[in-house]
Amino acid sequence: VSIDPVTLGVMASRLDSVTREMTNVMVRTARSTTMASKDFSCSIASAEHDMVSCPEGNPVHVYGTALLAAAMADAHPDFRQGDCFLSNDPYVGNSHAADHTFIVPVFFEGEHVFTALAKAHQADCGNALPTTYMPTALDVYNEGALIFPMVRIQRDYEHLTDIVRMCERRIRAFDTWYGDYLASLGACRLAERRLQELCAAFGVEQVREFIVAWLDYCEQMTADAIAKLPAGRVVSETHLDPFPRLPDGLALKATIDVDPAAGTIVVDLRDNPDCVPVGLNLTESTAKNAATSAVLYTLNGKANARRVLVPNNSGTHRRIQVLVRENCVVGKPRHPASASCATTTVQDRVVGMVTAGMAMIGEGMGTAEPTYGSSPVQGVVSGRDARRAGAPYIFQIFSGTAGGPATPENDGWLTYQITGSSGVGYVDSTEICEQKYPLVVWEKVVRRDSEGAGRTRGAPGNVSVFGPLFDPFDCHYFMDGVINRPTGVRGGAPSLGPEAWWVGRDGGWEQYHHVVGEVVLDADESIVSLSAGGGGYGPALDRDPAAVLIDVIDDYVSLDRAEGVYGVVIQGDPERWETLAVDQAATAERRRELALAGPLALAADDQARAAREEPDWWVAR
Amino acid sequence: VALDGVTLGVMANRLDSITREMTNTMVRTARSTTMAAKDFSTSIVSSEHEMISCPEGIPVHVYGSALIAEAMAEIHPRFEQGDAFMTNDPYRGNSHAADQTILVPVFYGGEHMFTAVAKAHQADIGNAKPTTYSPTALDVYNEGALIFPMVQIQRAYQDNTDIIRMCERRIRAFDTWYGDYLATLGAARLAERRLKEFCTTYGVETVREFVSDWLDYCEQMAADAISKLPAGRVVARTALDPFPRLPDGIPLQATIDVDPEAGTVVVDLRDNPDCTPTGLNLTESTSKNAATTAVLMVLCSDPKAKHPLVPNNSGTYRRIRVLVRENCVVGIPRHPASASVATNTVSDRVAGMIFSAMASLGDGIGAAMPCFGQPPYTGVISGRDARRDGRPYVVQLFSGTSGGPATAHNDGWMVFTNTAGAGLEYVESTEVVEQKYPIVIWEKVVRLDSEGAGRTRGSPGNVAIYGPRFDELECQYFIDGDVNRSYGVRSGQCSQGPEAWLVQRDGRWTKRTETVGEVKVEPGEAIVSLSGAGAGYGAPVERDPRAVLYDVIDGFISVGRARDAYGVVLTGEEERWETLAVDANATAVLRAQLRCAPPDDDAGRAGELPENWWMSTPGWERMVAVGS
Repeated sequence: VSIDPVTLGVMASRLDSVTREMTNVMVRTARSTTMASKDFSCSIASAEHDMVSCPEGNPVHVYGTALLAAAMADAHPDFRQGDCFLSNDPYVGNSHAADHTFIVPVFFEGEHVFTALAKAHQADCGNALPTTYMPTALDVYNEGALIFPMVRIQRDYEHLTDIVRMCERRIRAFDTWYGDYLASLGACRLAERRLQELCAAFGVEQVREFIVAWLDYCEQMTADAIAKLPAGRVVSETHLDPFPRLPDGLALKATIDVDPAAGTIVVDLRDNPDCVPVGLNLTESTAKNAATSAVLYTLNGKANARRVLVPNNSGTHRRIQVLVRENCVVGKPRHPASASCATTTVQDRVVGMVTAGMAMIGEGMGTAEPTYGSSPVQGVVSGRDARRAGAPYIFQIFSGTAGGPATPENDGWLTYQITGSSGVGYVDSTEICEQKYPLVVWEKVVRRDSEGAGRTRGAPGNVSVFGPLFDPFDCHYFMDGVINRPTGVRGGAPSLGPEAWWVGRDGGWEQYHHVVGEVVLDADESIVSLSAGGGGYGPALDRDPAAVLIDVIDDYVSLDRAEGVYGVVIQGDPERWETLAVDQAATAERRRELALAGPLALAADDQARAAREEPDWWVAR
Repeated sequence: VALDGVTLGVMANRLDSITREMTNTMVRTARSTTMAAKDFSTSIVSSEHEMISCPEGIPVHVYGSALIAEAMAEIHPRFEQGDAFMTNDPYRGNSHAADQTILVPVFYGGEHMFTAVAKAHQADIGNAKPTTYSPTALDVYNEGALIFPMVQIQRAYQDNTDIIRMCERRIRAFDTWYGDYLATLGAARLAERRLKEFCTTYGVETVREFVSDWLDYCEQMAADAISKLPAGRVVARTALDPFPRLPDGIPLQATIDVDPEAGTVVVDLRDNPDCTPTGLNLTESTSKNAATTAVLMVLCSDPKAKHPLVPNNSGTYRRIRVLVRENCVVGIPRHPASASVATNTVSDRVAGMIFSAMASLGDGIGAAMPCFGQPPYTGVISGRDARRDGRPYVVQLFSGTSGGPATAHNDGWMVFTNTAGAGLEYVESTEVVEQKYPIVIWEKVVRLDSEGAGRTRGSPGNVAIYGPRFDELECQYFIDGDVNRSYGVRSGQCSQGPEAWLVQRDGRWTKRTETVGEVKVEPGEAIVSLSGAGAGYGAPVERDPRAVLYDVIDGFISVGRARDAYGVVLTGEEERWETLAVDANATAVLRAQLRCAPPDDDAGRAGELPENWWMSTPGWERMVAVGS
């Protein structure tokens, strides 16, 4: 390699700062709250269609960068400067139809050097029902979304207005779509300028050399990280809850081969069911991302690391081989199978089983299973806004989060939300939500005692309560992990699954039991979302008592649970946190008793969770 | 007028023959049976966006030609030779989303001279459900169709493959769509060549003069025909049957002003309900067409005429003004209201109420109410074809027809189908359908005694019976005219409305009671479509007894109905037609009684269900894969 490491580092960081600038542009120019919550990702691909940069990208968004850049060149061999393409094609490289990807080839002195990509989950994508997730879609027709299989939307920097007008006819809240489109396009065009400046600063020759060297270096980092792992092969399984048209749910399986000598990890996902007649099928990019993300959790799981050790790019991906097959629920969907929910649900299960499978290979590897289900906290809400002459609105709410899995050295991340974003997404601003949409967000709090206990514990889930301000709204959400809850690993315990409740105008609570919820809330009613926590890693009795005390003080864990599950006896006035302290002697005694009794049964674990509170303070208003 | 009458006639016919050549091209190159059944129309529009030629065009298809040609110029002001555009935009001139229209602007010597327009109902359009009609769609999103709001599909004679690939992703049976797309585009490109030759023959100047003169002449023909009508204002009313989300149906009305002196008819449709949360809303072109077609039916009903007296074009339209408003179920739909079913149902009601109300202007004018609903014979069926590796299929059947209304001078047209098609569509070939799709069509016969009696009677409806050959099929259809039946005019009588039945494997018959049917039919089962008939014009006792005798001989009506409804007493054996004859004396006596006490609308109807003969046919089990 002819580039010295300092230049390599400077150039890589410069590239990343171009991607970060794209990201900032989009956050600041977003029209939708969905985009402002960072349900989008920016990335840069090389002229050879390798992904070279995606800092802060949602993993499930950016994995397909290389596939999409290649698809652009395949579908439009005549691509040229001034072009912009739109793809949301689940059959060629994209995640799901709601993620619109804008793709700009970047030329310098007539040569194609980079491709800039901005992918954003839209407030609406024209589905038959007002939601960007259609879990019960029979096929892509029934799903209803407009599919853009790499469609040119700009030529010579001019809009092809035909495509924009097609969106106007078929996308709800078109103005929001158009605003987000301009934001995405703006980010790509900005990247184009910045990348041209990069080429001007270093010269095209050196830029091309840098790309090769940087990807090789990242590949080497990955190989080195894998070399530190024990060799092993493990078959990991998980089971999606029963689902409409899938009475037995879905049994999923992955075979993971870790070969430290060769510096490779191979995840085989081919022994999984064929595509199913629902919207849960994964796409090539989401299936491969699920396994890759899970492996990266292990490779990047060092507690004392200040930054990610192994970057997420095509160099790294060379060492993490994911085997998928055509017409598989975890693979390449066969048209017209629907992949409407390809970024969640089965995606979460695959990440969960692979990361839990890695934990089976050795201590210090993998993680517990993450949160499951898309509870109403991230539901799609739609209705009419009486404050705006009854104009229709639709958007995905992110009024809360769901719990991350425990890693070998860290507790689960509180704002993890979902495997696809793995903590990258934001919880949206209540004030902005309430200002833009006619609803009230009554409460967002931690769901106490919902975590999977462990030496490191899973993050607790979240309680989120919201309801319409004037006219009824529709809330579309769907559940998983209610029956087959997120499990712990290496002696860690499972967490609580998600729940949804209805609160009437008199304050009465009633549970919704739908797997796929399409509920209508009237004014004065509200919906309560209890999101799942993450599973725990290692035995709960090994947890540092001081950490348990802090969990109690933070109101994550109740006193009873601290004692009953973690064996930590805490003294002091429960109402005054500053008086609380660990009773060391009693704790040692309690832990001895619990250890003798053997592993805690699930029922006993759940018994030790505080009863659900059913507050309704807002009803009294 | 600079052109002599002969040249005018020659040029008009040459133009019409170009349009007919487009039509023949499409029939012969169609991939879908829907297109082969002629559920498409071709037309030619002038550079001023006036429709000048549409022989054999389905009225509901061609009315919008002028509107969409104009939309092309507005949306793509720089359109040029080699361009082609596609639209199915219900909010901008088109009929419903399933009708895709291809427009080709025709240039001669660098000047825009004509726009060739070819519109075809597609086998699929990407609706959320496997049908090209979504009557229960809440809005255009829920409908699911791809909407092409005047999208450029060719530039410099090259396809924009992005659009075609979008269709590949979202249109079922894409190969069929693509075949029909090529057929349609081919027809438009053929017209381009022919129209250039037309311009070469006559020169641009003469062609432009012709366009102007021909439209003026057609306008004059319309004015002359109107001047023969009595002056008057009539208010027409009808009501659609109760429908999902419309428990009271839709009450509809029209005010019709006939001014023979000015030579104009004005139909005001503005006093109708707002858009509904269903797929039944009309579009601008279909609502205006419904009124215009109704008036043209009145103007063109001279019994001795060999061809329509008043052509259907923009010259004629100048004399038939239709007033519509925005956000009206019979008007201009407000986005995102769905107009998925804009070519029938409400369209049929609007046309029917206008020409039947015009009958009140005087004997010899107008017609009775036509058939309503879209029963299973013209449903959209879908499933998988075991003969082709389980490949999915979807197609609209035209395995039968519904009865046309009695006009002042003629019995209803038997293959009327619906007001929009007004008899232009074909009943498709059973052999071709069975070969292309895994179904068996057991029967297509006249529905005995279903007609509305009258001096001229409505056409009877039709019995069509079919089922899947191997795997289950899904049939999507919908019913209207069951509660509010087609009524007769000037003492003419009501006809029977449509019905759907399912015959189970054990031979049991079950009547389907849903208004919007989404029925799964298993192998061995059959779906039975009883289509609506047209209503009658004038008192049945005035009908020529010999005509009644022929109706009995033809198996259209029973001996009992001849007697009870028409007061015609026949002698002879019902089973042997050659023995039948009118008993003139008994008929005179009975008719005198019936004049004092008119029979009710259903007098003497045999009311029998068709016979299930097919289940006892040898080899039936093998044919429908029962027990395999």
